[in-house]
Amino acid sequence: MSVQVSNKLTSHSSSSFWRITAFSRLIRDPLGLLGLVLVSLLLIGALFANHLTPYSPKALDVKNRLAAPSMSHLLGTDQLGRDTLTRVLHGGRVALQVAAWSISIALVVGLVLGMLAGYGPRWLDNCLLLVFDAVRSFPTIIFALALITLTGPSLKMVITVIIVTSIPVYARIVRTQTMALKEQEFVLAARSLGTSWFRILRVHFLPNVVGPLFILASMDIPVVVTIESGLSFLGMGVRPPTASWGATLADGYAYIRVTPWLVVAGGVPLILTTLGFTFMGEALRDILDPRLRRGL
Amino acid sequence: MDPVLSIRNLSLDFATPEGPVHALRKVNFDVPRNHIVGIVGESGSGKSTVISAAMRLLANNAVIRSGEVMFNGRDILCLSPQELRALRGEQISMVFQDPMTSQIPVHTIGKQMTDIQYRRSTTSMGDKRRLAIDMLRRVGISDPEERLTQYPHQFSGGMRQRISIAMALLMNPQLLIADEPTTALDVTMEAQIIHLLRELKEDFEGSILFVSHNLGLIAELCDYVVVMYAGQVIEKGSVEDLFYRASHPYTQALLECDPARIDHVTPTLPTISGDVPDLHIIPNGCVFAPRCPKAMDKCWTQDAGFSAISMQHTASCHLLGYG
Amino acid sequence: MLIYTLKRLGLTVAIVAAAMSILFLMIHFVPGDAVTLALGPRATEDMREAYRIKMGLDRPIHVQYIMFFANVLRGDIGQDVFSNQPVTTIISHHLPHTVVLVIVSISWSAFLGIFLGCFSAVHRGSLIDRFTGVVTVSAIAIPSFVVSLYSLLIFAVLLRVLPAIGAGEPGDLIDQAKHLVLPAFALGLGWVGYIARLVRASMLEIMGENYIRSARSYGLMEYTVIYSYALKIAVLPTVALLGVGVGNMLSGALFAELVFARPGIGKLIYEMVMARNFPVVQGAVLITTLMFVVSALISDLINAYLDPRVRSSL
Repeated sequence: MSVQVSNKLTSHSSSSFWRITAFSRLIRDPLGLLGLVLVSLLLIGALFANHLTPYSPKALDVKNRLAAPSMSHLLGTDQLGRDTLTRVLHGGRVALQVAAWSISIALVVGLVLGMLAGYGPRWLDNCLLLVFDAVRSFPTIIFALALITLTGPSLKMVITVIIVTSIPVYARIVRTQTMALKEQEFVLAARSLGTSWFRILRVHFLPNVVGPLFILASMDIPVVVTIESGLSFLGMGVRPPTASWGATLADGYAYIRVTPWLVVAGGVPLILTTLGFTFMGEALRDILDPRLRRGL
Repeated sequence: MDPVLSIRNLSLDFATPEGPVHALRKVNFDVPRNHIVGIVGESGSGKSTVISAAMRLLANNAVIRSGEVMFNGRDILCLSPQELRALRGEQISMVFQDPMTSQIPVHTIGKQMTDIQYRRSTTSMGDKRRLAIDMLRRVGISDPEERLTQYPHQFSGGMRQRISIAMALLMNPQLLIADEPTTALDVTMEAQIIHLLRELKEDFEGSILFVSHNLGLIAELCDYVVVMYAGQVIEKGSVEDLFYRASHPYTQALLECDPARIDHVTPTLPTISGDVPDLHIIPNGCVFAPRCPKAMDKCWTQDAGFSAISMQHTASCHLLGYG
Repeated sequence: MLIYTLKRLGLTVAIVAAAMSILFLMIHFVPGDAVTLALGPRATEDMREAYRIKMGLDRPIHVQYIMFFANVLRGDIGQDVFSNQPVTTIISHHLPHTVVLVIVSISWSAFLGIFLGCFSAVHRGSLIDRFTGVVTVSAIAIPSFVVSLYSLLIFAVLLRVLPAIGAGEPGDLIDQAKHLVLPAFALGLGWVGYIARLVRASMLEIMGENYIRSARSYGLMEYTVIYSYALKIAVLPTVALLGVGVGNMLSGALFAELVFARPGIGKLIYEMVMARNFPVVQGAVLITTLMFVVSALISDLINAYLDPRVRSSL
């Protein structure tokens, strides 16, 4: 019976066959492939950061400070003599950790709140929407700075701010899907046949929300990495001596007239990461749902 | 007198991922000057495709396989974009099916109607407006001066279709093509629009090519009729020929199925059984054979060609003699 | 139109009130002494007592909430911890520079973005279109503060063609314009990408619409069809986007002002955060949020006005 009442909403069933085809199409798109390569480089660099260079990111060598790239220091050294390449690789770790934690938590909370807003009573929906809009009306960095003035800088605060400002975005998408589902007559029909909410959610709702959320999350990674780097650049994120691309950029800015290499070294991985995830995300969006391609 | 439009042996494919769709095959018919020709057929018969080809407003994946579209002796398919643009609006014009999406939503009717007259380089803006007002009055829009300053969404469907007709006739074209102009309107509106088209044709001394799936409208308006099925012309002739002496089994079935002709109470409406064929694969024989109540063995294997029933009346059927 | 305006205005007020409430909650539920926060560590006991009474810190929390709103509406958003100047005065000194930067950035990015988007749509599939596509995606992806740093490095430090620091001599428009080039470039680059892609997508969608087919069937010139008809419709969503762009740019302006040592509200916030001068930070947050919300409202209303379908029916 459920076959008769289901409609095209269930076309995105998550069979492994379909996932393989999406992957193969991703490889065939030049930008998507480039994105995949860049992302892989980032992941490898971050995962094996400890093994790829002989240095520790905290090892000082003040005699050799601000050295230009050489055979022993492929990206040169910073103002304390630390090997820049090592710090860059470890910075990648920080970036990915922040991204992983903040996006996954924001997704879960956003999913719950979005469903509440979509299914719940009208007043709850209006309240939640108001809160979402209010949170989104703070310019993100400025909001982060205000919070950090109150609590003091730390990576945990960065993650918190990102979570808080990301939740409204995810929740809205979930809410839209939820409301669309609510409108579908087949839900009423399925319910009248005794189908449990759980089954409706699993079969009809989740497949339609997972796709857009997944794409949104992967497009969000560059944004999150940027926010972390930006806040660390301002000194409001990681605490020294922890390595972060933003911290390296800040060091580079301070010594910009002495050597350009720190700015280059801090910026290039950031650019490659954001480009990589963006290219990959765009390619995935084209493959999974061309409808979403509204030009942004 | 030579016809204003002459479609000769037009064959057209649409390129699709599943292979080419043979949308038009050897379509042949003329539109004589100062007459109204109707094209009738069900969805998928190719009637909209053929008139899109006449204006060269086809989709990107359309491929002309062979044939010509002769307008006043020139093949439209061979014209350059500038020559085509010179033709459109001024010599050939079109009225489309959905009046609610036919005008630009963000400009006033007046601006759109004066824009259309851009070729009248010696006419002042005031005169262009006056011409627009006259035309609006001709098509039955009240208060035309006021209307020029209004936006399309402020008009009803019927009025918007009248405006479309006004815009199409503004430059006095020799041929007006109407693609199911009343399908989106209710019946009273429909009657008015048909009446309007008849009047205008008298005033403007032009021809109309009228596409519809509604036999009643065709009977009311047209002088000549072309019947299309699955991308082919299967019968054509004068309106009397077709309605009183329909010769192709498809035409006969169409007439029988017309609800207006039913004169007794019946529990079921007559239909033509079967479906329109898939145009990816063209059969060797008659394309109507699968649904034809009078099909013979010959019909499945041999193309029927055209047989003349009278001077203007031809049909493509083995039953008519030479096949 | 009037009803629509009133509705949007009402919604905006609600959002601002909600945002202020969130700010209030932040202050009161984050650990830390509110009085020290407001007055700084060097406040005397008298000052602290006076502040406690003024802000009603001994009163229940919902009274404090109302007083918070009452104060803001009166124009009192606190005093600078060190100089005791009203925050509003301090902000009004710094705000104009940021406003100029944001307006210039949005303007050039809108112009170039619309042009690129339209061009790409008209020449869809061409090499230029595909190249522009890659460039716009990249422009959106690369963080604006990195663009600031790199343009500082390349143009100011290495090539020395443009100034690195400050806003230029007051009164000397050319000098000020030169100082605007790099920061406005860095801020606007991402938005060129956004706008170009939005306009391209809108144009492509519109060019497939029936009314464009009608316009072509009347034999209108191609440039009339594209620029007078299609582009006019395609640009509408861009106006709404620009309102959101302002909010985004306020954050980016902070980095641009720091990197290029320009005066402005961003630099002010940063310095105040470093000095733990919370009242100014709070005031700046309120002002920038208000700016964001108001600009979104204005661009929304302009968008509604420009579209005759919305204008006459609402």
